[in-house]
Amino acid sequence: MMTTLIDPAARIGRNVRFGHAVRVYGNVEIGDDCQIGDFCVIGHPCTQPGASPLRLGAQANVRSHAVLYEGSDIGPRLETGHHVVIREGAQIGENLRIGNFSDIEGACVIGDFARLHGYAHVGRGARIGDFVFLYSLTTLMNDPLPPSHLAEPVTVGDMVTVCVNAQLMPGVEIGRGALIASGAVARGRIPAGVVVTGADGELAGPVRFVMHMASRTRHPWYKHFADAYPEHVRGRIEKLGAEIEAEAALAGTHE
Amino acid sequence: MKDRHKTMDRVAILAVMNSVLAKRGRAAISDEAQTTRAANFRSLDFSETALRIEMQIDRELAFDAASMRRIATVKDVIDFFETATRAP
Repeated sequence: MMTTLIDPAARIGRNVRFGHAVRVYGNVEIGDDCQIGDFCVIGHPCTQPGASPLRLGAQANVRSHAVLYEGSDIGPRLETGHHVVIREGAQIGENLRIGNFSDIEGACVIGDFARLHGYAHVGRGARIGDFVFLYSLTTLMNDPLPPSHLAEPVTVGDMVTVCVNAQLMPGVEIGRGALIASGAVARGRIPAGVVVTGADGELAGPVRFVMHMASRTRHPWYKHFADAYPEHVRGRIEKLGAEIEAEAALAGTHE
Repeated sequence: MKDRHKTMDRVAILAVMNSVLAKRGRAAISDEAQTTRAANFRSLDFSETALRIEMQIDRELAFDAASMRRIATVKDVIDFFETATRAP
């Protein structure tokens, strides 16, 4: 019969609930009020010795079969789907939501309130800002000559939206507030507040002109979607959105 | 130096819209009274049209956000861009 195995060296906060057959290694600090689902592995050892602890912030909800490695620092209110993997060296802000089967390859930085839907792949070393959306099947690459020992991680600015099945090529730098359309391939340097479409990564207009024609709901999203976030953060969203609009206007999209 | 007074007429704006549709393999607009949905003119087409117009007039379009939300037909789109290109 399988039982939950918790190393006595692990530091575990108050009111932490564990599901069936959870494995918690010793190099772990778990905050208060967390919920760890069935068959999760918390603090999986790295191949290199001497890793820092896995610090899992308070109020996390880690769903079944997730594997979180030691050596990462994860802010409060993490919410994972099932079968998520977060490798070592990830620095993650507040309230990351990450969908089923997504994979964060580690040594990366992810800001606050990032939203990764199912099957997102974040290549090692990526830099991801605050309030970023990565929809399903998005891939953030990092090897410019696969297979090789080279690494050119991607940079994704605050409030960027990467739509379904978009691909971010190694080394791409995506400016704040940009929208990478579904199926697009982004490479090089993408200015703030632009739309990128297609396999050739064409700059196809300003985000401020993207409008759902039937409902006339228009971007940038912070003007119609901030209510999806907790109330205490909406002022921050408004301020950041306005800053990004100003940046995009200053840069121009066609110069 | 940028010319602040470049504008575009309706025929030119419709040509830009049709060039965007043609690039995506869609039929040209046949009737200004068509709804944007009937004309298959979608959100990213609107954004790309805006970009192409900005490139042609060599400045950023100024517009009233409320007027953008009133758009329902192809005619509305052309009216919107015609007004936006004339704004100071």
